[in-house]
Amino acid sequence: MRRIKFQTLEIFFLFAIVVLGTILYLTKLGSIPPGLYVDEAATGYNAYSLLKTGRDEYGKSFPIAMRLLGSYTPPLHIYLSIPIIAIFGLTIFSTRLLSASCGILAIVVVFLIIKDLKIIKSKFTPLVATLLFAVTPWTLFFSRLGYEQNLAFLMFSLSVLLVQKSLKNPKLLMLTIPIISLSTYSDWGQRLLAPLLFIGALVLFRKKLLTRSNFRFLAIGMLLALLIQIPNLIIANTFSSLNKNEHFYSNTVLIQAQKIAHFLPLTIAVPLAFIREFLSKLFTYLSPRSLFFLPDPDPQVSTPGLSVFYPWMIIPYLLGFYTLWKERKDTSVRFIFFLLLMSPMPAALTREPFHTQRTLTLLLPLTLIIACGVDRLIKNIRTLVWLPILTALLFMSLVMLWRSYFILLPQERADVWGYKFIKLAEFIKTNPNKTFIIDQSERTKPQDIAYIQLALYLKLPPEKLQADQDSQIAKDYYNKTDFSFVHKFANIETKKIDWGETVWRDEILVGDTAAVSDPEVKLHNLTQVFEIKDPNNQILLRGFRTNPKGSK
Amino acid sequence: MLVFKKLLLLGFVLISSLWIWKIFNFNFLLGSVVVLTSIFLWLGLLTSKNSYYYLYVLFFIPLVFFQWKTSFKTPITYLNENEKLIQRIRLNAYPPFSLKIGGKTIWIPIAHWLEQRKEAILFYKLEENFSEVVDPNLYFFANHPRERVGVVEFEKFPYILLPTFLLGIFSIKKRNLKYILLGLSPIILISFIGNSNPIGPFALFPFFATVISLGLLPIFSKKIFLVTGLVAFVLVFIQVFAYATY
Repeated sequence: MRRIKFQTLEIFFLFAIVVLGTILYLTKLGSIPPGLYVDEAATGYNAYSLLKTGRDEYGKSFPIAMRLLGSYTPPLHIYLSIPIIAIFGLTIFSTRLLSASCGILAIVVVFLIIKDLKIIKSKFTPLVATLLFAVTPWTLFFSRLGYEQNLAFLMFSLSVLLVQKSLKNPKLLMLTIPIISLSTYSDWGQRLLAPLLFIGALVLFRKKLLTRSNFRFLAIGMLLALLIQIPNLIIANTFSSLNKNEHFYSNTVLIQAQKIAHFLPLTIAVPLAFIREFLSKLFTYLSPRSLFFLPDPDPQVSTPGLSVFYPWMIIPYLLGFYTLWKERKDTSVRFIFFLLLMSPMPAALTREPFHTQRTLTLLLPLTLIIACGVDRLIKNIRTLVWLPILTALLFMSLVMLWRSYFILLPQERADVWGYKFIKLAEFIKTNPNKTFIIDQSERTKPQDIAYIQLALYLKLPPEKLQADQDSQIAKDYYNKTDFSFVHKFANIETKKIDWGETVWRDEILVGDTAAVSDPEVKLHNLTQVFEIKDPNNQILLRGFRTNPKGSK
Repeated sequence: MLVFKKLLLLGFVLISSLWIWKIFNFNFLLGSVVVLTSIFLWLGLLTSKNSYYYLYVLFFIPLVFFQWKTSFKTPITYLNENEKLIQRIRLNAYPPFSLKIGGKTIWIPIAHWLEQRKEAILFYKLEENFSEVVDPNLYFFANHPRERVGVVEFEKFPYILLPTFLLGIFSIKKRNLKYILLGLSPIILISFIGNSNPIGPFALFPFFATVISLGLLPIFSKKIFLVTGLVAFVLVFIQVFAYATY
């Protein structure tokens, strides 16, 4: 009787956590972050293009890997976004809605994973740990971001849950293996992690999974997985599959190896330099400083003054580690350690010092470790003591989250999030008869790439952008990796301003204070027509009308 | 293993650390205090004798004093010009916040509370200082890949000893908790005074050296581990030395 009562309560509280998550992930989704990052804009617009024409912005019919800005992103997120954009239209909100939905679903999946862990002793732990997961800055941030990472996280978590469930019900292998295979279409990292997860699970749980009676289920699952991989295999031999190699730190390794080469031969120096680089990166992803205190150095994937977890979570994190170490002979604990070491591997092979986006899957094993720490605390402290402490910490955490994400991020990161293009699109809409030249220097930063942002905000008919693209791209789509942000569509041109020719035409020149500097304004007798500032009153873009008759 | 042999193990960790040489180079007396504190902490952990604990405390107190004395200290709530500018920007970011109680409007100065109050600044600074000193990468990878701006980072222990450090942490026994907690106590001091010291958070050296030694114990007791471990160690040590030299 009592058990049934707790189960009902559990479902009620889980529902409450899902509602809290829904509120956190959907509140002001269309306005915070303030604008779209270029990857979001490319994702949203390509989904729109596929919806309207059955082709992406380059005119390729339903690609296997999306050529977005030359990245060849796995396509699942974009295909799943098509119905959302069909229902809600092409907006910031609709571009991000799939990620938010994945975040909400992930709450339930993570709850089920924690509930399935044998080492969890307290019946309250799954709920408490799920609540912490739902409000964690890392979860919230990527649940409000309109590209593929959160879908990949959901697919990864679902794969882990299905592996756990398959141990009890081997028939599920027929679903588990295809889902792991399908996750390779969710993001780049999963192409490495999915096979690792599959092999790791088979090795760790070999006694339960690799039995004669399970052979049929394994065979069917692997056959389905192989069928799912056919599209990936078709493009395996193209440049699109090697696209991320440039992120590897080969130069750093070689420079460091030169130092060691004063004492040791290069054949030893290079592996040594690589090992140190790799391990330093790997341990950064487990370091308390990176996880609880320091934000990601990339302003586009971090919030001001807040790391990926709340600072106080360092206590259950360390305690969780200790608990798991003590139980290390348990296979499910080994599985958590395996996930922990496996998840940051793709990111530990890339240059960036700490990249929360590439290691989003790490959120799962870290949540499980924190859950173990929470479990130990709950088990050893009376409810009347831990409950008020938890409530106070939760309140403090939500205040920190509100400050960092909902107040400081829109104020301090407007430029990174392409806020200026919302305003620019509004101005272009009200001036349909003017020609706009938008400056794109040769080394344009991602947040300054204009064409795809404007195409999205202006809801440019996809046929127009497709007509502007190099027709050779669609023919050799997976091998032509070079990318250009020089475009001409409707009344817009995105290119480097050519002062020799532009001042003789009646145009509106758009650029920042460096691209259209005050001396140039004076020299060419330009007339300012608008100015776009961020919330800190910093000028982001200025628009000037040329004066062909009065130009010097 | 005999206590003498185990002392040799600590000696190995001490000698192989570039940090201790840097400390000796900075001040010979300080280096001697660090070594003696490490030895007594190690002997205390091995034997659990009170006499060693008292000797450890006796040397540990001046060590903490040296840490305080040699650190460049700024008041914890002090803001430099850049931080003041950020504070001003942030103060303007908040919307007006009020509560209506019984027809009365009560304005809540939330921006002031979260950005300007001494307690808030203290919290953010403590967070920053604490995070720097608990980062394993600071000790084993010269803070790579997240080096601090304006700080000359240096490798304190060869990174090959990081797994043994973790192994050491997990093998600490409950009865030795008082040694470990005392060894870790400089974290509190450094959180308040900051980590601006030419030779780093050296008051934590004894803790690290002894925990690493603790983790090395099972490795040194098996010949096969010992031989392969030593070969790998020599290679890594050369690498660390090369990085520090060139």
